Amino acid sequence: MAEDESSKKRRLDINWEEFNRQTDDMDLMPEVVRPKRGSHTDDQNPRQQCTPSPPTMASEDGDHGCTLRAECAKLPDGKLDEAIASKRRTLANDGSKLRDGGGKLLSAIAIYEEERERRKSAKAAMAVGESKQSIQSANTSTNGAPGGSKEMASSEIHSQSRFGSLFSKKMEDNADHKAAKAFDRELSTLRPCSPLKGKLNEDLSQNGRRKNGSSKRRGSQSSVGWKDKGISSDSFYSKGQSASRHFSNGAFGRKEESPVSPLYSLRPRKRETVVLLDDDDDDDEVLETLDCANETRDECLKDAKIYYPSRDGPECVEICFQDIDCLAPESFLTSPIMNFYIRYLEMQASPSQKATCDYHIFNTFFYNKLKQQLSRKGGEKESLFVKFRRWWKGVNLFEKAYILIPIHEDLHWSLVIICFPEKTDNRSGPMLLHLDSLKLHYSRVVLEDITSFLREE
Amino acid sequence: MDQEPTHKFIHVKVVGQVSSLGGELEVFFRIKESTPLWKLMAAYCRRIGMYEVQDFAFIFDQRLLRPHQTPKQVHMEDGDVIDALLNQTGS
Repeated sequence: MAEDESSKKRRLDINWEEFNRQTDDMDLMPEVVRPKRGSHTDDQNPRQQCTPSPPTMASEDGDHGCTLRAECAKLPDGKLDEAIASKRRTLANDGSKLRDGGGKLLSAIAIYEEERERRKSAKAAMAVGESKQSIQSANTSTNGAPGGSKEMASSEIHSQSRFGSLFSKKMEDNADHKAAKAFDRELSTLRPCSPLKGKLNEDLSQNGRRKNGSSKRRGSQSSVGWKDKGISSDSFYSKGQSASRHFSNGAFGRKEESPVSPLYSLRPRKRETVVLLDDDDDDDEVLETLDCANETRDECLKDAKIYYPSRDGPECVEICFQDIDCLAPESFLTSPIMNFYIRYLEMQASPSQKATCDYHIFNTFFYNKLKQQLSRKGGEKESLFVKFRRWWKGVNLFEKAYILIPIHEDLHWSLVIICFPEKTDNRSGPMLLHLDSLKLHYSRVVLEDITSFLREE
Repeated sequence: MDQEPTHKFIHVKVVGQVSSLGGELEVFFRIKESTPLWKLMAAYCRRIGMYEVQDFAFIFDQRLLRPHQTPKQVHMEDGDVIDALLNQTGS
């Protein structure tokens, strides 16, 4: 048990150490995190045979933090050892200083984003090294460990090794996207079924899965099964970068997590990353849909429909389970998903008062309808335009600061933004922006259409 | 039940936008106010052929119609027009 946990914790602790070092500078200190830390460190000590743990080392840790990270990036093994040693020290310190350390941890979380850059580079390197070690430890642990601990260890190892491989891969892809990496890391921990890991310890994997699933359920996402997570993570993976950018902070997740964490207190640090993803879910449309989808999938309803924001709402958007498939990498986005997200954005911005919100988003069908409208001629046009006005019934377009019009043509999405300048500035008319990621659409044509629409209106 | 006076019939027009069929396609329906709209949708698709109900987005008053709704629920009146637009896909 101790060995297993220590191995897990060891990796986890490394991260935490960095946090701690950073936090050392900070004075904020909630105690919540501390207890975990103490337990972790205790577990680690038995495992690591070579390094003694002097309590006085805290300062050293702080100094070494940067250097260690750099070293780690280069030398994962060496880094691991050092991290372990430092952890031990911190642990020894922790016994007496737990409260302070906890506060520091929290503050570190706040700083987390800044550090992320360094950390990620270091982590990626670490992850590689750790994955190797974790595999080894997994083998050993499975052999000798008693049941409960075994499961723990296996799951952890499982996730970590996967994590490591993913990380390294991610490193290759783009060293720049730290956020993405963080996201990946989270995902990797969540991904019990991932094929990458499968080879390493198949026998362990089952236990690990079980463990992951149960632990997650205990956490915030009681409604979501691990299975779903695993599946969903694949699709998320590609989205990870964008999603993570949106929600700039894994740090947020951590903050929220720490209070929630009593359940996790005995678990190795990695667990925290698991929770992070959940927290992010609240912010991300994709994630949300998946959550819904997961729930429905639990019911084995492939045709299940999801209504947002509510089933009976007048403007609710309906998507079915299959629509989620379009979020997979390299597949086309469908209008149900687009409209769902538009609705979601509106809800985020103005949950209650749509009329007072300073922008208006048309749905994806508006532009087609507009084109259709403009193609008509003569007196028919007038009457039809009156009907066409229903599309923005109850919305005073010219009082909005921005009007967003999604454009769909030729299997491609783009966006037109109409900016209305301040009323005091009468000289300049509305400004049109056409955002086209592929430059596939003819901006001139599109903008002419929009202009004529504005004139008409 | 059909004889209930509250269940009056309305006439609505479904306007399609199926370019492959050459421009717009209008189909007129006479539907009871209490009839769920999926009947109308299914009938429209049958008329059009080639497409399934899921391929269309039926829009009325800028709102996506859902199959279980009835004309009354969405305040549909005699002579109203429903847009039947093909769902869009794109990158």
